[in-house]
Amino acid sequence: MRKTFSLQSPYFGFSWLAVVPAIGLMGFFLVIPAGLGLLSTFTNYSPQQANWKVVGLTNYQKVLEERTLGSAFTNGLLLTALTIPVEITLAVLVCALLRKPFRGRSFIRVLLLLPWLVSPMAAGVMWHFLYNGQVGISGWLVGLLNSDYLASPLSNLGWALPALGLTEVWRSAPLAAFLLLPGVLAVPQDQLDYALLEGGASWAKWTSIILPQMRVLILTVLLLLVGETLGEFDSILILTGGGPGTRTMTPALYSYNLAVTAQNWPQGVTVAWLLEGLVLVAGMLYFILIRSEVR
Amino acid sequence: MRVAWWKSAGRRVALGLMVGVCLLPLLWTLLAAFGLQPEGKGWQGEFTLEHFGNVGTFDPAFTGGFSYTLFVSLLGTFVTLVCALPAAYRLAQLHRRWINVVIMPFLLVLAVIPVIGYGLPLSDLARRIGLYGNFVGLVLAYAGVQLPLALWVLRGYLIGLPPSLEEAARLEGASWTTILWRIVFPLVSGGVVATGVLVFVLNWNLFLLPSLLTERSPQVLPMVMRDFFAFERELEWPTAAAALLALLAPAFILVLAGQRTLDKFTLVPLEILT
Repeated sequence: MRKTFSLQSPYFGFSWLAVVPAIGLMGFFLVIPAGLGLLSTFTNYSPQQANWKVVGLTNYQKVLEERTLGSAFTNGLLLTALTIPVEITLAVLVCALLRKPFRGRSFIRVLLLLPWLVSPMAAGVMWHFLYNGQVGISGWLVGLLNSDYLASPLSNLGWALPALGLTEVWRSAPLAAFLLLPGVLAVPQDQLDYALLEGGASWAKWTSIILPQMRVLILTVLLLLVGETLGEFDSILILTGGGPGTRTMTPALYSYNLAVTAQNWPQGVTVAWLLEGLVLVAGMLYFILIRSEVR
Repeated sequence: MRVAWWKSAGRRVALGLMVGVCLLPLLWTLLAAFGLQPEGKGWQGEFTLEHFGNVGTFDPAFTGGFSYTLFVSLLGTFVTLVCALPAAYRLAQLHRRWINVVIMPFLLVLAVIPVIGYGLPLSDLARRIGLYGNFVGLVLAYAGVQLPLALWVLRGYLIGLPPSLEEAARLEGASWTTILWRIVFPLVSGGVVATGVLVFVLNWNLFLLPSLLTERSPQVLPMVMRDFFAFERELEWPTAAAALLALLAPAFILVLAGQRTLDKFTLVPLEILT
């Protein structure tokens, strides 16, 4: 019989000692600050002033009146909707190419981590120069084709957001491939051989056997990517700072600008919590979708 | 079953192309850091190491920030692992459906919620209790923030261990610290190392959290990098490239060192699935 989590268990002492430090640290640095943040969105609390009072939904009202909020969330969602399907598709493609064992496969798998090792901050600095018409890759390609000097897409109204998306895909798609590969490799070969005997297109083994078995892993990676993309801050701060205009303003950047730069703490925290709400919705979806899959 | 030669060759070409495209920006940076820049069909500039020296003279905070960040990240990782391993073991031992269905998704959500959501109140909280702008506060914050992911991953490694192991050890009279350190840890050391490497990389790259929790100095490297970029208007690409490589180096070395364990890394173990 399995040991249970009960007062009678001889393991009681261990069970609490084992989880207390972890719960304490997570509670103090994650859960409590997040909760305090949520509570403070219903007040006019600000670290700079001594008194505060409950103001109901006023902060939300004020924030929703701002046009920048709309563009920030549109951009955030657009960036997520544009990059994540591309990232997952590319990742599955790379996994398909890595499925059959060969010498150096494990090295290539670790190599896939490289773009992710570049911090979002550093990736911002790097791509700032790579998009540059004089020293960047795009400038070099244009030079090969004997065309004119190319302006950076980052200052272009229409191309700034797709350019951000490209840097995001560059950093995250290989990571997704790294994370998805074990799931692909875990599918037993005999199942695939059997499907082959049945006769079917070779892509059908992916849609009918491999991908369905990877559902939980794919959903988990999806949630990681969604959280990271929606909360994107560092690289955008460097690459565009939200501009031109508000074309690349994202919720995290807007929240930071309000709370720290403009010293409008209540509204900044409110925007941050709207963003958090979005991620929580994604989390709820994850919860609902995996419930039937997990024992 | 023989695979047609063009199929395997095609696969290699496609793989080479994809890996090449993914590494091209880094190669570009590497060349620039050594003073080389492709131009047209040829090259511009010649091989030099001076740009690496320029990083330090351009911004003296860079060299100081380097060791500071290394120290904070390593210590944070260590605290995360020390707290995560027993808790993850406990979570793995309790074979309850609600852990898989409720606790684990909750941990994953905690792992992915954007920093800005808890970072702003945390900076205020830290100021009030004296954890703002100091080393201890930063290390503990790093440790706490990475714990959900570490718990999630480590539990995946621990869930494969049979409960009979612990029972046997307990009959021999082993205490739980002995069990954890002498029996459990050796069996999952690969997983602990892989988790440690990934958590270190995440710590090393944190920007928003430390900038909400510290004053101007001492700064962690991503903050130095941002100032480097924002305030040095005449920052040249080769100098920036050298700084970028210096920033990448520790993470890269650690990942290469942990290659064998990372190759076996899984986010979701098969045991959790039906």
